[in-house]
Amino acid sequence: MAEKKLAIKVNGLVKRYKELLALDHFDLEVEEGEIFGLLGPNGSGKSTTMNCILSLLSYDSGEIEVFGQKMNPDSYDLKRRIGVVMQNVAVFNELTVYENVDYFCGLYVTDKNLRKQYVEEAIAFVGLEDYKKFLPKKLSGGLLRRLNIACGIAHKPELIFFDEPTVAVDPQSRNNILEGIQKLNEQGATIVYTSHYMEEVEQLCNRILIMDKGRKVAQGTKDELKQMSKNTETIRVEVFGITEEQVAQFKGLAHIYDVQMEDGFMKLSFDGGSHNLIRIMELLKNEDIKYGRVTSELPTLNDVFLEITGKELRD
Amino acid sequence: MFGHIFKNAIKVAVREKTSLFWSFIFPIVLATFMFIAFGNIMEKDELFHEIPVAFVKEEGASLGLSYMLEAMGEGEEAMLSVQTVTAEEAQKLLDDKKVEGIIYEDGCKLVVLKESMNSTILEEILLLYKQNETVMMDMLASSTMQLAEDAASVPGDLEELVKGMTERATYYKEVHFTEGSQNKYYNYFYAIFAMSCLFASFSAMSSIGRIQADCGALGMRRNMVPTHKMLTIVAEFTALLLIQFLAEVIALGYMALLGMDFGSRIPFILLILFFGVSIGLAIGTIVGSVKKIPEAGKVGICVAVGMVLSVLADLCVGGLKHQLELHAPIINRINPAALITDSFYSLGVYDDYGVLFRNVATLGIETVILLVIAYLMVKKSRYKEL
Repeated sequence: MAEKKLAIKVNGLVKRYKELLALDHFDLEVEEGEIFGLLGPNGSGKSTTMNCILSLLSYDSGEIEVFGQKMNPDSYDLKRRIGVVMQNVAVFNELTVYENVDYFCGLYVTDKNLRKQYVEEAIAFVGLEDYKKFLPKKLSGGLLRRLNIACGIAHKPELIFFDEPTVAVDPQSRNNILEGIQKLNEQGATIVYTSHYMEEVEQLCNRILIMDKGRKVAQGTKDELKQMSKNTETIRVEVFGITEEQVAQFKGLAHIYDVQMEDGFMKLSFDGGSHNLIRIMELLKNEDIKYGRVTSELPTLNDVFLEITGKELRD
Repeated sequence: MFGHIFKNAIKVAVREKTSLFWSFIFPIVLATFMFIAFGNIMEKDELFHEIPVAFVKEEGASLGLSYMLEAMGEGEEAMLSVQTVTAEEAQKLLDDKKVEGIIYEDGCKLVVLKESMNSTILEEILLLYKQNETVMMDMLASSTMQLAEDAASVPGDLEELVKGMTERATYYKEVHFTEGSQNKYYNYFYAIFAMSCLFASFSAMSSIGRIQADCGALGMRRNMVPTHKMLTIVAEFTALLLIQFLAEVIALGYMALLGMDFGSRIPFILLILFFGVSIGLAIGTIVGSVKKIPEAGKVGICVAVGMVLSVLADLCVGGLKHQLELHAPIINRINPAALITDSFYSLGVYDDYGVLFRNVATLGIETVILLVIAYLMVKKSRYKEL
């Protein structure tokens, strides 16, 4: 099988902010054509990693290669192949939607006719055709995010960084953005997606790297990561008037490794087994325990993160 | 690429309302206020107005004084505004300060309320009249005697004599070394140019802030593009120079419409404005290049710098520049606002361009120094932190 080409290769990256070690011998490999997710809580080093790769931040040690070439601030040929969608909207408030996209596209594409075509396509891609002449201040938060994306992708880059592009975005715009990223990938672009929203990363990314405190915590596909967790299922039951002795009976069931009471709900964690819900229901009936809502959840990346670091992703 | 960045910098600059106000509106508004304020003072201080005077006639008196006063109150260059009234009416007009004095035909007397420039003029007029009247009366008396001896020749001589008395010979010629106005109030208008040139700093400050990665998301984004930072800085500075220079030219045109006389040395005025705008932009560039100061703080610094330098150049308090010239002349030699106002003033006062060229050269050197320092501050392409 042919070896996949790497779009990004980061080796032993160390970045210090005075006393704070932001990146601790961090390694990263992103293959061409994939959607790579960089997942971690706020302050874990996702944006620092991205800014180092883009030669915006200096770093103390390590090596960074993009498309097989060393990345430097004056690597203009490489930069021309890269698109960036920043976490904060980065547009000119004085330029219209069209002019903003045209400005950024023009910094990469010098041919005027080609640029015009690219700008139109980018605006259509994010669905801002009706807002071409609008100034950014007239756009809603969701539309602004779309403009931000259009500015980052108009020049048809081969590698696109999305740094938390859905922060403070309404659900509809969020879905549009995620669908758009999927489309860009289908058109051939390699995507690096950083986020602290595990649901988005799960939904979007082929491979995921979970990081914390500047270090790689885990890496793999969604399924590979979930296998790292001993949790296979979590069942939550709303119970009324349950006694401690009855709770202890649940702890004795096969494959249950943890039972906790949380706000009137009994949370039961399983490390395997099948038909777990049926066995729970039987025990509830046998013990004549009154119950209300019952839910069954499969493990999430948060469970993986929780197990490895001892804290929630959202912390 | 230069053209692309330049074109968009122009668009941003003309749509940035704050900078637009300070560049285009502020000098026009300030010039209008100054024109309204100083226009009256100029008219009072600089222009001569007819002196209102009451004239009390005497029955049976000779008509000489009456004719003279009437003649002095006629035409476009009239010196007096004469009201012929009774003694009581004249006194009332004087008490109400509607006239500067009363001239009584009887004895050719002058009554004024207080000593003033106008009362002195009236006194001089009457003195001159009295002298001429005496001479004429003497001549008339002697000519009457001569008439008996030679009736044919005397009238011709008398005519010549009268003509000689009334003629005023001028033994010097007025020569203008310069064509500009030497009106002292123009200094305030020159200071407006100085101030608006310095306030060009706002646009440069915003512009340089948008290029630095550690000054916001847009700066970060622009540092990721495949364009050399120096090219962006030069293109945007050139665009701002053009816009701000245009703003000064518009202000100049507006002031000319208000009736200000800038002479015919327009190319030199444009030269002053060009270098004035350059130093303003350079100040904004260096203020904008300072890290760790929020944008509002930088705006405050630009305002403070512009105001202080303008005040030192006499925008608000007349005489401060003169005091600096006496006690700390170096400040006037390096203060951009003083250099700009002095350059304008030198065009109106001196017949050579020594002062102008020295000042413009100083402005140019200051601009280059500030821009080099600013570039050294922002040239880095990789940041330690963002």
